[in-house]
Amino acid sequence: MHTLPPQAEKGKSVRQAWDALVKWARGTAILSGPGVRISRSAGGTTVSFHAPRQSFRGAFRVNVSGGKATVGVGTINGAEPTINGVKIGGEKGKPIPSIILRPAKYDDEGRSWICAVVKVTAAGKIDAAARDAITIVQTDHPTKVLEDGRPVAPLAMLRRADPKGTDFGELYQVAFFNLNMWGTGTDARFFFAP
Amino acid sequence: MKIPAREWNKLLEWLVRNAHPLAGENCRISRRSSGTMIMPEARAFRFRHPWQVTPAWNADTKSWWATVRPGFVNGTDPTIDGVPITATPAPWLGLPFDEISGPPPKFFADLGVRDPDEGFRTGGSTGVQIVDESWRDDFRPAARRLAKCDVSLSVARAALDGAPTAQDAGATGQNIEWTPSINTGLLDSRGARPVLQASAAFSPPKTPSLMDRLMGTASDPQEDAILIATVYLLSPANFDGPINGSWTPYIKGACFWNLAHAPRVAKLGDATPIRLATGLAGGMFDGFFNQLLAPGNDAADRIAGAMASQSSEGRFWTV
Repeated sequence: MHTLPPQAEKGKSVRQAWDALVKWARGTAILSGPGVRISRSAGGTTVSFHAPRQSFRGAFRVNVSGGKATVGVGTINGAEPTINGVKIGGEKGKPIPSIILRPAKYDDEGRSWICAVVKVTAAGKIDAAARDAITIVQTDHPTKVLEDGRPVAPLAMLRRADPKGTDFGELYQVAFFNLNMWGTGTDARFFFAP
Repeated sequence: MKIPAREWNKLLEWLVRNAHPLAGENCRISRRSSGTMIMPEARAFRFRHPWQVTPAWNADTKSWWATVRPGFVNGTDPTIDGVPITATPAPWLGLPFDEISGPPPKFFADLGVRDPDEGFRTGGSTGVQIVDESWRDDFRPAARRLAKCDVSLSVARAALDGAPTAQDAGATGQNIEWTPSINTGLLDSRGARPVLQASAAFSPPKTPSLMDRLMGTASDPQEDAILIATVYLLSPANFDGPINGSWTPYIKGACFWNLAHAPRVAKLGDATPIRLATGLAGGMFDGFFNQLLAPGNDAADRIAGAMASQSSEGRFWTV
């Protein structure tokens, strides 16, 4: 515990009081605790707090940077989707996978979607045996089922301010939770819900 | 003994360098005579959920409007008056407020909103309203008025209508046929894209009863709708005049996540007629259906099952 500075007393050695003062002063140094960053300069010690962490990030958090999109960890029926054969949350020794955003994959309104696409068996269940059972794709329409019959869960939408622009646009998160998929069998309807 | 200036200054330099705090990122410093207080910036994390409604007074049009933080239905952004809510600039939603009648929610009653009928009671059997003297202005907070408006989301869908037709089956009675007809009027005019709208009081589309559907006296709604939020406007104390910008908005959210929606039937083309045979004379659908739909009647279960499979009423759920 830090105490008050030592007082000089009449009759005592000034040197002794000075040394005690120096010793006390060294105890006033500002130190960093958890979540605190400090940097020292001649003008003083700058104290910075780490930005408060977002308390809710959710599953399938999509980030877009440098023309690529990464997707945070999330599962569909307990299985983690992949991008180019690598799980979206990353795998040991491999970088976090990303998909390259294609400017052509935008609709007339300037919208594009990052979606999870599920490979299903003839019985309408997730083809768990396939390595690429659930993959991440970019689509130009908020479809429910791809042309090849694979059900689609939209995870995020990109919107260009100018539909004819070439930028990737503003990102809107659509899915916030891990999902479960079920089909209704013969009529090829598939539903996604947390 | 003397203390050299060099040593003195060295200590001061050390103190300034190591014990003189400066505010960096997300840091606030408050210096007092008793010491220096170091605090993290009071910037609490706020998760801005989809469908967040933000009302504002428009001084030009002298009316209340709102923006809605984009939310999605099946991954699609809804529109407001035909403009997508993700468009730039974001579209504004006009809020048609109506002052409430009847008892206000307790939250607003505590703020001084009165039931318009408060203070009156019906006098005995005469039905005449008399002033209830038990209420005195001295004991009540300053009077305020309250208005409300509901923001809802609607998705058009095909509706299944139908009417019974009868064919004489000779001595055995009649064959009654109920053929579903598919009404895509709203779906054709508005499209499948969800629409955000505001009304003074939201009432969800009601699915007609089995009897109404069999008789063809009520139509299947052509939309599914869900309440997004209720916006309340609270007047200043003792305010007399129309709603204006001096009123304070309060939001009561009803939906906080993106949505999925699906009508019950995907392929309405598969709808097939329900055929029933009866011994009753013609023109007596009402009595016939009443008899069929009586509790415990096997035919009622059969009809309910058949019509449920041919109803297109949809459901919303969060994702």
